[in-house]
Order: sequence, then structure tokens, then C-alpha cells
Amino acid sequence: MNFTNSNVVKLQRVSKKYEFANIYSSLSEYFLVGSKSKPFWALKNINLEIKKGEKVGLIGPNGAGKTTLLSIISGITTPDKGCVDIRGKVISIIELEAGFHIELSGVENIFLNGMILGMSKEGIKRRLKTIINFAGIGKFIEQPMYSYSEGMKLRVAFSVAAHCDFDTLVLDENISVGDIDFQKKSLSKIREFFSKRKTIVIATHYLDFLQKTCERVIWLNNGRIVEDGPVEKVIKRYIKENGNI
Amino acid sequence: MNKQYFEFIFAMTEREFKTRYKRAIFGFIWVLINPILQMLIIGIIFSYFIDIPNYFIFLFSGLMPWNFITATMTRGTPSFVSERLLIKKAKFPLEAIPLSVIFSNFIHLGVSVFLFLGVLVVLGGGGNISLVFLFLSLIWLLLLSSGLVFFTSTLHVKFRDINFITQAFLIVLFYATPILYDLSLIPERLWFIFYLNPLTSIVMLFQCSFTGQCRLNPNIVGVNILIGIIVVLCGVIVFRKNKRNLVDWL
Repeated sequence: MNFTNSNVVKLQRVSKKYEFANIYSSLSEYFLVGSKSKPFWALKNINLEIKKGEKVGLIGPNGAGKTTLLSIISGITTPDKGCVDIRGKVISIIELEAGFHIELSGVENIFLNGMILGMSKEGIKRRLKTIINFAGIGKFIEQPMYSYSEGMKLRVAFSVAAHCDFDTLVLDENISVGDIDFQKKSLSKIREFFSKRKTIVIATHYLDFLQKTCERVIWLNNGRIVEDGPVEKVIKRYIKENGNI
Repeated sequence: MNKQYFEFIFAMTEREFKTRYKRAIFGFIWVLINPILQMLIIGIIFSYFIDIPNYFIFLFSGLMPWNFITATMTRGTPSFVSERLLIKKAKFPLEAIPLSVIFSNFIHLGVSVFLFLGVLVVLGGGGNISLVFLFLSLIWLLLLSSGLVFFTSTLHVKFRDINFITQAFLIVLFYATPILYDLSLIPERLWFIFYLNPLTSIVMLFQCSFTGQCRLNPNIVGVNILIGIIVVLCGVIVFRKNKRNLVDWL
């Protein structure tokens, strides 16, 4: 099937509720005190359509709902109200290292993390050499991960994610990883994604980066869309109302 | 349900299995040392009070499924919470997490069963072994413990004291299961405990497959199976109902 020019992400009246923690943190409390839940709406009535190949930036202050929106798009969580229609394979690089186990070697972790990101074992085997070369950490790749520096872990993590097949990529904040050398490599890889017909949704505070890479920006505040439009227009208003950063 | 799904469950099991004893010397041997020590100590003490033929074999056959249950419950119940980082950051079939704990423990159990069989055959006690009963009891144990762990691990996400409750429950359960003793040593007015405890028949079936002395009570087996089915259904239903929202509680 070809979804050219059709929506890959469609959210209709999506709302997401979180209960404040410690309400039923324990069963004994639940029976003694009962449940008094205080809801907090992280997203309120979001309507959103993203077309195939679009590069969309998400901006807004901390706690605006950016991460919640990204989790819904990547299918990690589901909304309490509204409907979500996602087409194609979405991968999220919200936290690169989440799937690693420090007791396992680099290669073992490449397989594990790749499979968590939805790759097949066969697919990883085929790309293993490329992934290892891109990470470029030499003989460490056979060593258990507890011997790695933070930067080396990030290199492996980024390399796995970068060689994964996807239609839509969801990125949160940290785009550039590792030392200068690897930053160049990872940025050029990200640019490669941007130049292909891949859909990208990215939440970041780097407005410069968005101006260079995205056509469209969505500004979130308090769980609502403040403005959704062309990058220059939205960022101009955002800067005007928030002061220059 | 496809190949990739099973590959994933397998990879997660491998991860759980590999990481447990990774840095310990003779890692795997620890799996055997504990139950052997347990068997020797309990055996030496209780053989003074309890008169069961081949008491050490009887004990070890009961301790194997019991250790499986405790290990699975202890690691499985808090498993969603301990993997919260992963669950919050990536989308994957959540059941892989408790399943990886269950399966990796089941491999451990399989190895001890296998070695125990070997020892019995070498020592000449192999004539009493019933592999059919052994197979049945392993499957039954796997199903029951899966039901239990899915139930407790899902609830543990919402109620963080579930882990303490299961730990306390396990201490009681050890004495309420005929591992140290035989049903014939217990007055019949207390047998309701064995009817209600779905582990009774599993442990007895294990003992029966190794010692060849089967004292299975059909009534108890029937009620145990019924309770087992209820436990498995509860586990599956509670998990399926909550898995969509599990991540929001972590």
C-alpha cells in the first residue's frame, strides 16, 4: 500500500489524563483511605494530522505535553479520549539507552535494543557490521557494557536506532550525542533522514535547529495546541511571547 | 503472533537468563547449590521426625517446583516496575517482561530436573521415575506460575505493597504445601488447606514422578485444577485489562 500524500498520523480530539501519584500507591491504603483520584490532563482535545514525509517540530515550555504527545504518536501510551490513527512503523528515540543491559556485551545489546525497537533478528544480523562500524568504538563492542563510557553507550544506541527501518521517527530533545566527531556523524545521519521521505516529529528547545530542518512547528502549552503552522511564523510568535532565548 | 514476536520473547528471556549469573564464578552452579543445601539441612533435621521412605529424594522433588515458584514470584512481581525505564521509552509487547522471568526460571528448573534425573539413574533409583507425570507437572507448574505472576506483577504497578504481600504469602505457603511432609501425616480436618492450595497437587505430582510413590487424592487434584484455572484466568484478564494503561502508572 502506498500512503503518499495521505496522513501517517491522525489524532482526533485526543485527551490524556494522568492521576497524581501516591493515591493508590499501596493496597492497604486503598482499602483504608479509599481512592480519591485527582486527574491531571496532560493533553486536552488535540487535533492533529501529519502527512507522510512532513518534518514537524514540537515546541513549548517544560510540562506542556510534548513528551506525552510523542508517546501517543509512538504508541507507548494510549489516550483517555479521542482516537489515534497511525500508519506505518514508528520508532521513538526518546531515550536511546533504555534497552541496554550493562552486564551484556555491545553486540548482545545491539541485538536486544534492535529487537526492542522492532527489528527482526535477521534484519539486525544483516546490518550488524554497518551498525558496529557506525558506532566506531573498536574492540569495546565485544566487552560488557559496564566498561563503557557514557559517550560510548550513546554511540552504540544511536547507531542501532539509526539503522532501523521506520516510516516515522519520533525524537525527543537530545539530537546530538557523543564527542564532536560522532556529533558530526550523527547530525549528518539525522540530516539524511530529513532529506529522505521519512516523517519526523521532533520535540526540542533548539529553535535554530527547527528553523533549519522543519517546515512545520506545533506550539504546545498546558496540553493544548497554541499554534500550528509554518516554522517561521510560529517561532516568530513564540519568541515574541516568550522573549528571545 | 509471528516469528519476530517469539524471537523477541526469546531474546528477553536470554537477557534475563544471561545477566543473572554473568559476573559470578561458576555462575550456574549456584542454581544447584541452594536447593542441595536446603535439601541436606532440612533432610538431616526432619528425617528425625518424619518417616518417609527415600526422604531426601522426596524432599528434593518437592523443593524444585517450590524454588521455581519463589524465584519466579520474587523476581516476577516487581518486574514491570523494575523495567519502568524501558517500558516508558519504547513500544514492545509488555508480556515479554514477566514471561522472560518465568521462562528463564523455568530453564533453571529444567536443568535441575535433568541433573537430578541423572543422579537418580546413576545411583540406581531410576526405576521409579515416571516421565509422563514429570512432564504433566512441569506444564501445570508453568501455567499456574504464569497466571500468578501476571496477576501480581500487574497489580504491583498500581499497588506497590503487593510485593510485600506476596513475600509474606510465600512464607505461609511453604508450610501449607506438602514439601517437608506427606498428606498422611496431617489430620484430615486440616485438609481444606490442601484443597485450597493449588500447589499441593503439583508438588505431589513431582514427588510421585521421582519416588514412584503416588498418594495423589483425586478430590484434591480436581479442586486444585479448578483453582488453578481461576488463577490463570485472573492473571490473564487483569493483565489484558490493564496493559494499555500500565505505562501511565510507572
